[in-house]
Amino acid sequence: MVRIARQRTLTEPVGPGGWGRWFAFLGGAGAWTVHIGVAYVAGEFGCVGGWGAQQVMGVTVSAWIVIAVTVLAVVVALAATWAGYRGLGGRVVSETGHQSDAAKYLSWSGLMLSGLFAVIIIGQSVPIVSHLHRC
Amino acid sequence: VVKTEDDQAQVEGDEAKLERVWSRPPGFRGWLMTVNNQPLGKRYMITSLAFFGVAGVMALILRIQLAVSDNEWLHPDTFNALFTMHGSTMMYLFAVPFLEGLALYLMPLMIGSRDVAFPRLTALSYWMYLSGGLVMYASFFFGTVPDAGWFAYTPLSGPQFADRGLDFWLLGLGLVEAAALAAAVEIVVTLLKMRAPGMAIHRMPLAVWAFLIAGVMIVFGFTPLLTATMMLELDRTLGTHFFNPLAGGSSLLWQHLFWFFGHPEVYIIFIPATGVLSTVIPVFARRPLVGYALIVVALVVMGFLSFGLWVHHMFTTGLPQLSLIFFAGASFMIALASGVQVFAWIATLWGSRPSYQTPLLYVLGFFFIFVIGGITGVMVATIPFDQQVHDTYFIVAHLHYVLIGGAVFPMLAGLYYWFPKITGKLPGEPWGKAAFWLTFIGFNVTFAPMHWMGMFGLPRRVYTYPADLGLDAENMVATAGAFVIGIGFAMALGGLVWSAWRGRSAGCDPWGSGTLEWGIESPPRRYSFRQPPVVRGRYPLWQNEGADVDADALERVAEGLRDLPVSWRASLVTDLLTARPQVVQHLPGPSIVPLVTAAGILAAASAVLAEAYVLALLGAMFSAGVVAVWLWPRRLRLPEREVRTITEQTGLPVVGTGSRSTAWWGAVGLVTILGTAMGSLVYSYFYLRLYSEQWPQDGLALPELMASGIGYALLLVSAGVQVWVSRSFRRETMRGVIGGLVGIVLLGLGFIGLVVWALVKEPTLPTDNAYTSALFVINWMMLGYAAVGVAVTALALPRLVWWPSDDARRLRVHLEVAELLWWFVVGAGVVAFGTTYVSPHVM
Repeated sequence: MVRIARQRTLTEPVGPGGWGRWFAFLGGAGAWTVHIGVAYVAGEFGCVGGWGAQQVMGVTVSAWIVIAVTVLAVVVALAATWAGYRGLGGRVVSETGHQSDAAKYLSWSGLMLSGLFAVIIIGQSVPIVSHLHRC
Repeated sequence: VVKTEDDQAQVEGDEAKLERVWSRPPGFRGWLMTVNNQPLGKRYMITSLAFFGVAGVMALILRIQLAVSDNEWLHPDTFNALFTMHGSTMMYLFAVPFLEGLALYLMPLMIGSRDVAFPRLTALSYWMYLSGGLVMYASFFFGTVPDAGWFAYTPLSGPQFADRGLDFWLLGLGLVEAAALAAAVEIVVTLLKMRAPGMAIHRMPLAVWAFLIAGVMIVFGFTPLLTATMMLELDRTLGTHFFNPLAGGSSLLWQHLFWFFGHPEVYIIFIPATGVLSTVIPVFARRPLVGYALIVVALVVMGFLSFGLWVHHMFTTGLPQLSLIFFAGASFMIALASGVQVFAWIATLWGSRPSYQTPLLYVLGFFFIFVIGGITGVMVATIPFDQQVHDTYFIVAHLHYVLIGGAVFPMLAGLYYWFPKITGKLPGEPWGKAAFWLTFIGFNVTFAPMHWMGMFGLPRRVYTYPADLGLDAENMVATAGAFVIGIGFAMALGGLVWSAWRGRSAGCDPWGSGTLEWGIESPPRRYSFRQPPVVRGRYPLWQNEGADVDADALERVAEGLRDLPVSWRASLVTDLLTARPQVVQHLPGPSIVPLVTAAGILAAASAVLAEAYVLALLGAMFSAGVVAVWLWPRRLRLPEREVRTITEQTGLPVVGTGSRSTAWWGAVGLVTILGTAMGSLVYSYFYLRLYSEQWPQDGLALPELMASGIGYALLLVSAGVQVWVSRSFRRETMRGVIGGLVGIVLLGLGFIGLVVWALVKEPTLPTDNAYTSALFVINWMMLGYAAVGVAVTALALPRLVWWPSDDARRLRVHLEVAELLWWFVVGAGVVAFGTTYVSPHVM
């Protein structure tokens, strides 16, 4: 079989810390996606199925789940925001030894995007405070 | 594929040779074989505008009927049919296809590419779209026009209440959805992988960002609808019960699946429109757009949030309060993202000296109309208010303010703006301005009164209303306004047609624009760019002097591809993030195969309508056979000297592997679509279970685990074999690869055989109740996935056996695609088995 070496580009795309930058860019959005999915399941499947309507310390199980996933999602979104902030500092070096503006941009966008998603996750969860004890 | 036997044309390419290799065969046959993005983009736009005209005429007929109270001019059934076809045409046959056509035409020009990533897929997409539209409209000739609304709520659209017309609607829509998905994958892969050297993500024009995000949204949004239409068609033709409450199904399941598409659909239309606005505004404000990074963030946020709001269309369906309150909160949040964009556009215009030409007038019209639509959107996100105005004319007013303001006005802005590029002629300004004012005034006269008509209790979708409601004057005004809009649109489109015929020559860049498409001739040549442009700024025609670390290397690559290749079609593939050149990608030439494939699919759909199911099966098999011929491995015979020249001059290979290959990205798109379809079915399964008193329904026995369990176990074993194949390939052990592939094919066939056996042995039928419908359809889908995986894996074998020493990179791409697909099949199998066989036993 003919040898097929892995191809190389002129420069490596992101340089060191590439995954961290992608986490910054998509982490907040991913956290929001999980948040809305779990909140929907807790709301419809929990309340209709009955298990979510049971109360623990005066709060329904469904509401507890929404609260828990909100906290987790906000933590992840803030971590992604932090990763974006970290990506702004230091040097991003490509294979040819040059700094990559695109990588910095990814971090900068990630900082804003994940920060905004953290705000959105909190904002969309606030109304359930009025429905903690009922489905 | 264009045969390239002309050795003398190698090395010294010139423009004429480039022209020849990018031309299509002459005559009608050549027209049918076209695969180039420019003619296909134009066909998409022209076809969608024709549908727009037809739907507009229907709207006028509807308004005549509603002009006075107690009107019996139209029969109620005719009214139902007309509003159904008006809505369906506008949403499915006009809005999205027009924007996709615009994207297919423009995006390669805006990113400096010679064509799209998969030209034949573009052609297939167009033919399927046209077929779908024709199937929908064929219902008129058979006197059975669909009449269940553009949303086709069950049970109204089910077999009990809707006649044959709805099958025309479902099958036509299925074709249009498949076309949209193909175009979306095309657009996404092209924008990710075929940008000009240097066009890194921070330099991408905002229109490119917008179309990229909309493309991804189509993949995730249209697939649930495609799945739902398939389920409803199975209910109607085969007798399954997904949406039949009398047999354990749920009408609300349709609403969930539909609105999981329906809400993002609004943003799938709106987001590309924002891309148009972000392109047009800086040109006429004569300054770069304010807040580039913020707008990108807003686009991404909108793209995600639009998928989290489907429940707000179901506030009156009796969902739990917790869900309602949560999704109301989520609905408010999207105003943040829309607001960011609107303020950025205003800031760009603020303090500038705008040139008030027709495109900018439409932009200003957008501001006024869309902001009103956005505000009423926030109003209907409030649960008590929504419950009050639900299904009234308030919603009709809101959706038209959002869709016409948020999409049609920007589309017209874009049409006027890019008209000189597409036709080479300038649009007539006086006609354009007059058309704008008529449209703008007519629109507000028509739809503003509908707000209070709805508040006063006029329900939508009724063919007439009583005089004592006291809304005659408002309705008459709305009808008069509708005719003014109609005249405005007719003037706009008529003026453009006239300008295309008799207009003044436009030259390259009549507006003084900053993006790449204006740097080439109008209209562009088929190959668009003689050499790839090197991009160093967001507005390369205004200021292309940004610092670039590898500027010399990028210039060298671009120079190396000047007027090359001349004996085969090619375009540059670049890195996703930084747009560094990676590969000189071969692109296919004119082909009849896409048209023949679409014809086979159309024949199958027509046979289903005629209840000739054997013919339908033959049509489907014919199409599958044509696709197999399409994908059959062939040796790519490119002139060696030209390949060597290109490689020496650019330092790039002519076939990319791994994530450098567009084929691999296309496979990622396919897997995403198939995964979303499976996800929609699995959701349906658990949703039906949630609302069932017992599961399996009707006291049926639990599904038998033995045969299916062994079948799915074979699939898991094949995962191990796949690891073996990958390892053998890395170690370059030919026998290991061949043996492993044969093993995967055999295990896959074993899986198919055993699952078929398990389903045949099952003492129930898919028509028994909703549970059995879900059980069978999920496993049928799984069988289809496995068949595709087996076929793609098996197709690698001829390459390995017959020409193992040639086409090594293409072989590698094939194996990588097969591997990706097979891992997906194994993953989907775990989910399908867990859902249909394990969950009833353990939950």
